[in-house]
Amino acid sequence: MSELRRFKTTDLFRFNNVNLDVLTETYNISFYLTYLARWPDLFCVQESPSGTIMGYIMGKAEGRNKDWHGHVTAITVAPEYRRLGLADGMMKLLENVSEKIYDGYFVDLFVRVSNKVAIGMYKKFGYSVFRRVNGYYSSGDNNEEDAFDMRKPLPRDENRESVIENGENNIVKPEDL
Amino acid sequence: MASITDVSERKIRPIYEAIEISNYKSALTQCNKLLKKQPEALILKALKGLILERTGKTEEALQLCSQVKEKKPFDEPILQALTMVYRPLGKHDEIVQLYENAVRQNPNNEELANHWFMALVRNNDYKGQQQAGLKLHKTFKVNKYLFWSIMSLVLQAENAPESQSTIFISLAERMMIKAVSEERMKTTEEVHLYMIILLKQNKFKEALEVLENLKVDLAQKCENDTEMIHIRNDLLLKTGNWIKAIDASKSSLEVNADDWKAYLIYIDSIFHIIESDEKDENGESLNKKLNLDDAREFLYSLQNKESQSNDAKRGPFLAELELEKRVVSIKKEIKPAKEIETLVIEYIRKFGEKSSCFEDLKPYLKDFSLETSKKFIEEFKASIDNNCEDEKLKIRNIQKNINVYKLERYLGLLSDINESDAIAYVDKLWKSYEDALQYGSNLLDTENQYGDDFVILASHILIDLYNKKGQNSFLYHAIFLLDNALHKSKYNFQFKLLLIRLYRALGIILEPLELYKSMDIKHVQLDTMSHYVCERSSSFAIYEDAIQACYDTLPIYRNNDVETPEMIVQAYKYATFSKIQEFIQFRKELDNSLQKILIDREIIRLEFLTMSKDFKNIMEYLEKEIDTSDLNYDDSFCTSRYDNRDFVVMNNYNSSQSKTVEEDTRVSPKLDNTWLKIFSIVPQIFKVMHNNNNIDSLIPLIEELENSVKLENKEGLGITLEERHIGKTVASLGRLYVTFKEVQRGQKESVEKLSKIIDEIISALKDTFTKEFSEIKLQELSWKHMYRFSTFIETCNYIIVANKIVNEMINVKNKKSGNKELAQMLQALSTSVKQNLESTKKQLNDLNEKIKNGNDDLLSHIKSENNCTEFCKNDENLQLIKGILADKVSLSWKSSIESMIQAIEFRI
Repeated sequence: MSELRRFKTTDLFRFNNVNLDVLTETYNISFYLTYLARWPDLFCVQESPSGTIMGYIMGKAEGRNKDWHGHVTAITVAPEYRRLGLADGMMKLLENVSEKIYDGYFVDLFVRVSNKVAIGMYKKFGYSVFRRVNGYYSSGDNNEEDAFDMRKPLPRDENRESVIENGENNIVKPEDL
Repeated sequence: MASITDVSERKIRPIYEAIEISNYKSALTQCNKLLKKQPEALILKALKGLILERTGKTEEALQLCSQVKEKKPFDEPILQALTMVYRPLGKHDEIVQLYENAVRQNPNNEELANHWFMALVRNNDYKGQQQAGLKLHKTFKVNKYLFWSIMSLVLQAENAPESQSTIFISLAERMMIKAVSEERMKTTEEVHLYMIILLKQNKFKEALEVLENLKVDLAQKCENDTEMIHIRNDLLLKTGNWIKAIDASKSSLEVNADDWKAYLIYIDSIFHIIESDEKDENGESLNKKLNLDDAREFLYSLQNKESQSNDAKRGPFLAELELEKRVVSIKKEIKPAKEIETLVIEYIRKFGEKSSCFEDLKPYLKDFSLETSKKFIEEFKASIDNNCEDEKLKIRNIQKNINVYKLERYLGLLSDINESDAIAYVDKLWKSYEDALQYGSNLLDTENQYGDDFVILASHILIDLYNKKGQNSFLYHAIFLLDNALHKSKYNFQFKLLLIRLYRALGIILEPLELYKSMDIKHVQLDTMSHYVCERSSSFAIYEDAIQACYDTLPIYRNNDVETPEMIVQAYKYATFSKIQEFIQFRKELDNSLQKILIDREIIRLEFLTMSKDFKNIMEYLEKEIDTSDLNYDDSFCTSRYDNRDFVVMNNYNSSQSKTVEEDTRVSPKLDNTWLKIFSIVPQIFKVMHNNNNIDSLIPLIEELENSVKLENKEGLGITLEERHIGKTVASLGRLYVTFKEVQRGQKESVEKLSKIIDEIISALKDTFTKEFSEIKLQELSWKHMYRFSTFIETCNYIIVANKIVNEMINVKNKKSGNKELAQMLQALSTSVKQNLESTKKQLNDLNEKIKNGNDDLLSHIKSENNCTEFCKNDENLQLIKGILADKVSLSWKSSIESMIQAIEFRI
């Protein structure tokens, strides 16, 4: 139960309950505002009836020709609002906008290969692994981790050219992205 | 003629490269070398200006740049170099002129014209923007430029007095109408702009018409924009289009049964129809066509659909509660179809395992009687099958039980609980937490254990007890539980926030600083979260760390200055008109942040103290670092601050009538404008004394300070008793100074006045002296004590500094008659301060000794003083508890006290 609406700039003052969660990164002003300035319709928030921010999604449209697609840059839900279907609602919205407004071929996202919960969830939403990116996540202390690049084709990709079978074995280096 | 061509790129490139890697010395050498051969080459001058700016030689840089600017250059590299000098210095108007000149010479260069427009944007020159936009549109025939101009008119309207505002906005509307008729409006963002213009004038009907008459492709785009859907729905309500609003919300709900906004629109519309006797176009009453039963039927149908799914959504069920709640509150004569109590019980049976359950139900429990509340909790408990074997169900039960406890607390069922029952309740919660741990053994490091909220609830009970009985042992018990649980859920920020508050209440700062650091708070969070550690950070007397913590928050304000204007530029570039006002507002709220100013004043307070270890240093500090014009405190300044501090992030399950946990755990009132006033005036008074001129400005400062400290002590006033004392003392010191000047001017009668002021200061000092602390027991040691000591030292410090300033003036003047008497008076003051500090030092030394050997004693008190928690009785936990007392409690106390002793020693 929530209101799915566009992210307002001043929401940045009120998103601590979401962003203090350890897996949610807080970026500088330019990062958020660049997304808002370029893709205001791909940056949305779920707000509870009492006005608390429950989670948000930020995305962009990028790529050339048949690679033109919607990309999920970040999606997060505060701990106490998990397992309520909020991520589902936000993903649907991003897919819908990617399809109807940006006319993309697919939607994609990156996820840590260790994040089984999220991978399972994305599969349920219709995403499949397209490739595995070596050392995509690198935090300072040698904690390198691979990412799965997961994709879901949109109706424009009639022949499902944007996805492949067994993408887990399709290994690439970050510089080849 | 201004041109770049007179220096070849081959020659300039090394300079650029050197600048890029910040090798300014080499860049300057190369630049000078080339300038020798071509002293008039503008690009060289501009680059030299840039190098000078980067190396802090602002004046020279600006001089060079203005020479270049006079030549009206239009080559992009020259313009860029000058812009790079002007922008960091905030000289946006220079950049505007620069590009204006360039555009005039190259009217067909679109890129230059764009730069010109953006320079105006950075300069907040809405009028200039509007005209530039029009010019660009006329020259280059790009629609975007026209909308830039219209957007600028809207901003002009927002910032103009009302009479002009109306003119600007209606002009914007006319331009928009024309743009539409010429079929220029093609994007959703341009429709947004149109909506901004119409909504600003409350033209709801017109706005709705615009939306309903969009061309097909644009209408389709808008249909997929959440914001546009919301605007349209709001307009339907505002124009009384109830039936359409109902249809719109119904179709939203078909797609998403969790769309709360759609339910609200639906329910609002239904009630409007029921309560009015509006008729439709055929003269038939609307309320005959549609009534409450239809609404219920609609919600039931949605519920049925959800009930068949494995993952039922809460929406239609909560909406039913909302509907019946409104029936109860609005229509007294109509009965709800089902009582709220019944609905709430049905709800927990379906969704009692959701962690949002507590928040979901809160609005519907407000009118519950004690009896109803008890019955509800009993029903909830009875619905939980604690004997189930399935692990998944067991995990769900954990959440259900947590919800029971939260609701029980919220409903006030624990308010009369006595101490021993409360401790037993804490033990029960802790046991539930420990039982839950077994199911979380496979959880990742980054996840919280399933039962963490049991610990939060237990600590809330202990905080209640502390507030009732005033005994610190309850806080220690809470800390032990939270600290222990934090080992299992390393990143639980709710634990950390509570711990920060509890430690602070006990007068401990080092551990809170560590906890705060571990939360990785950064960027915009620095503005909203830093108050958890920076507020009154001087209390703990660990000055270096406190100053550092304050300074660490400042980058966000600088970033706002640098980054946000660029983002406004981006919004224009991508023609995202819906975000421009938002960005401007965001910038304003951060720029005028209350926290920013509070931090600034706390830094001055801390630095004043540390600098005045040495008289020369503090004089230099007052000379160089204190700028009166930065110490604004007048009413208009204060009221235009934005309070972005986050006080709601801490979870709270207290009933709506009682204080929140955040309020319950704060040891001192939250800083406000009165605090800001006092600590803006204090350094100003010293600045004037130091300057020794413009004495007349001192009186209003003193009076304002006296008024502030005399303010009635009412709920919500942001100053403490000790801060009043500081204010009073500094005001007296100001008076002392003024009177001293009178004496120097030969007013004999002022000598007596002076002696009276000094006596007052001495006796006030004795009053505030911490003598009642002579027998502090460790189990009672808390923030209050640290705060009394630290503010006492601070007060003494102000007296010492003022005394020295006046003394210097006597020494400078050769020994006139009467000066001896004055010197004696000042000596008396100084002796009194020293005596007081000596005794304080002795107290602190005694206390320090107590802390050094007192841990076992403290622990036995914590255990025996009140009913003791099972956790604390358990010998297995002894090591952890002792560790906390040694490494987190005593260590911080000792550091604070030793630092205070040191601060005193510097002054006696």
